[in-house]
Amino acid sequence: MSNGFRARLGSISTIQSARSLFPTTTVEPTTAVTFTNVEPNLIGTESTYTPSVTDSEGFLANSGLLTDDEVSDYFQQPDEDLSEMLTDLIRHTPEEPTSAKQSFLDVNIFPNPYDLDEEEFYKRHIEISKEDELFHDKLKQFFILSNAGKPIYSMNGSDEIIIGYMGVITTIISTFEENMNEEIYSISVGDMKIVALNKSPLILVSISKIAHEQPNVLLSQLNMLYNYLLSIISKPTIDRNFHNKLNYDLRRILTQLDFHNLDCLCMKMTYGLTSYDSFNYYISQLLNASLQQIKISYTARQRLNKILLDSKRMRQNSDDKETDLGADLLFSILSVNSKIVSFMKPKNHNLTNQDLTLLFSIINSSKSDISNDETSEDMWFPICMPNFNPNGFLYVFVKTIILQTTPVTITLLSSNKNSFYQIRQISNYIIHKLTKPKMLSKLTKELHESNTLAILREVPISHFIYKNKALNQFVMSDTDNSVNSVLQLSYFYNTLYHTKASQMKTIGSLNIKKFSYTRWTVDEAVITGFMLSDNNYEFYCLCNYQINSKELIGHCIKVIKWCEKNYNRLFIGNGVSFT
Amino acid sequence: MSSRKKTLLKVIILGDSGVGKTSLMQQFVNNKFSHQYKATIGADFLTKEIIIDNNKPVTLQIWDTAGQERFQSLGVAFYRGADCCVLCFDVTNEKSLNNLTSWKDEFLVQSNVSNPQDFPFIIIGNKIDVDDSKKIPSLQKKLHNITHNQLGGLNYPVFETSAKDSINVEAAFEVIAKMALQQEELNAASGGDVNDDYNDAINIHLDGESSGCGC
Repeated sequence: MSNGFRARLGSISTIQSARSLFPTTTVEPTTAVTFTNVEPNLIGTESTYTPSVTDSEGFLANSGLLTDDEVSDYFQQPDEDLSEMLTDLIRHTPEEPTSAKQSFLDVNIFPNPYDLDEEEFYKRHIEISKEDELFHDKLKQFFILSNAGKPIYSMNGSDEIIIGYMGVITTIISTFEENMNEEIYSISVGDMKIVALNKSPLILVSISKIAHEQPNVLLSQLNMLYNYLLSIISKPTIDRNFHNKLNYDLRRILTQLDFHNLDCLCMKMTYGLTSYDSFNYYISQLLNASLQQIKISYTARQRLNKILLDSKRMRQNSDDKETDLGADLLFSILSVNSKIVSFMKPKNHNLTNQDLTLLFSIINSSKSDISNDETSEDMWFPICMPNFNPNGFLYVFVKTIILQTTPVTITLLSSNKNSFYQIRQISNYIIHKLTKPKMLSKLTKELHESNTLAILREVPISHFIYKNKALNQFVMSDTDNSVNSVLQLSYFYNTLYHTKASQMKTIGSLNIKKFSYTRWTVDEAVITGFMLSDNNYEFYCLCNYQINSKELIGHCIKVIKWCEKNYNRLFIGNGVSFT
Repeated sequence: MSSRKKTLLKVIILGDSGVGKTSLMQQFVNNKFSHQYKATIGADFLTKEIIIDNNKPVTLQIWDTAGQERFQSLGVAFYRGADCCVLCFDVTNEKSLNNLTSWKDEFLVQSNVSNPQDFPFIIIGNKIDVDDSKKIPSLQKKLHNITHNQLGGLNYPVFETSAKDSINVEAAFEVIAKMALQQEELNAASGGDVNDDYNDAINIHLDGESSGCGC
């Protein structure tokens, strides 16, 4: 019934020193190669390799000067330097792939003090529960509260159990704020990290017992939750409600759907669970709000873009009056399972990737189940896109149609709240165009094939991610969305991402290549993780066996080349603009 | 509109050190009393759910503060956004009675409430179980003087309680909750929740360079 609280503080860092806190420590995988721990080795290799690096024939020396046409060529030459550097690190004989699927518990992603099986573990430590019984067993907590200490949202537990904590949190944060004029940023107590985000009159707090979640990751998760609140009620509404009423209870204007959406966001951000787009979302956040698109031929994408542009220019004649139907239309998006197929925007404006992922999250959770129907109902709701403009609302029209078996979602954003009928007419036009026999057959065929990336049949890489840095867009091999796979993949990629990369010294080149290599031994099976990046891309892959370095690099470069060759199919670029 | 949701009320307990703030709270929430005196460090937080007017569930979030002056630096965070305030004194300690006014002033200064004259306060005189000989001489008269003082008087409901013998404690907290709830409902009726209009439309100039977004 009651709880008395005393906060025991470990190391406390403040915003001022926040920068130094960003991933300085990395999780310890079974084997990790970082620049620091291979330093003697690398210094040695550097001097050994000097001749080949200065050699004008070596691609590293002049890769910065390559033109677009040469890009694919430069990989033709075997990447000797890289492969030799890796050979020094991977001194293992290759093994046959292990087909047996290990459990996420075998990977030791999370401590398992009670020796539970997968299902029990999930129930006790991971799954969201509003009961008090398992509150302290959860690996992750999120709280949103007012700075008067009133709870607004909690991922787990009931009011009864969290209210005391809300008091403690407010007190700690305010004490720092008022007495030291500093904002508290993060506290570490043993393996536990507590990160706070002060968005007065709101406070957001995350507590994580997950080793691979770094404070900076937790902070961006809190920003995402805050942006969700802004997207549904906007900054002015929050401020107006709290103005002169510091005791205001924000829960009064939040609905059950909002709490459900917050739950979904918490699970997505922490584990990449539990809906079909959650893992994509997790990777997108990991890669700094990168966006994933649907692979589709360039001509098909051009055609879709044209449909969107044409729909924007639609006019209607009635009673001798010509109305511009698309006058208020700002953004049009065609997407399949939250992956963008085609995107139209005004010339001077854009939506950030953060806003787009948030928009998709909200659409997904509001969408009714349409599996039995050909088309969904029309949705029309106001939304504030926090990075676009935190002070006002846009109005979203959403409709999903099923093309053969693929659900295609049409999302249209308008600046005028009274434009529903006009926007619906535009949507009808788009649907009409999409379902024309020729378009339909081409599109359904392409969408059907989009998930299978041909290149994976040629290389023994079990999973990869390729990110185009300039566009901040990525492509990723298909994932089965089982809890087991998602938890392992998110852990592997997280570790790989945060493992400090070694830099290849290239003289005279501006294109700096970095790589890191990680190996996990799991119950006699071996997982190899490899990251390679330069100024243009980041590439991450996982192999479910031990592989020799030359072979690994060869495969990776093959995939990278494939991605570059298929640039127009994999990425939508900046979409299409109207003026 | 808020009826389906439980109302959460933040209750602040103030008063001199040793008047029995923690004991009152413990008695109210846990029906426990301890003879041992342990000074509160900073603050303690307790919750209790009660039903008001037979059908309104209310969650009280009780902030028990330290009476000792050296903890007063915790300040604003405690008082901010309070829904009601309980001023406590010890019926055997005249100084604690005389300090009520300064506790009230301290609260109003720190909490920065919008309508100080309407803010719900109550006064609790604790330890009535103690032998009459130890009580403040002519307590009722002195109490009357304080509550009916024309200048900034503490014209609030008074409860005489015993945390030890559980006398009047529940009744006092029920009145606190009622007063706070009334205030909350008044606020809701006058100001209302700002969420019914999504009229903050963004003015987008598609052809000009002035922009509706930050990009």
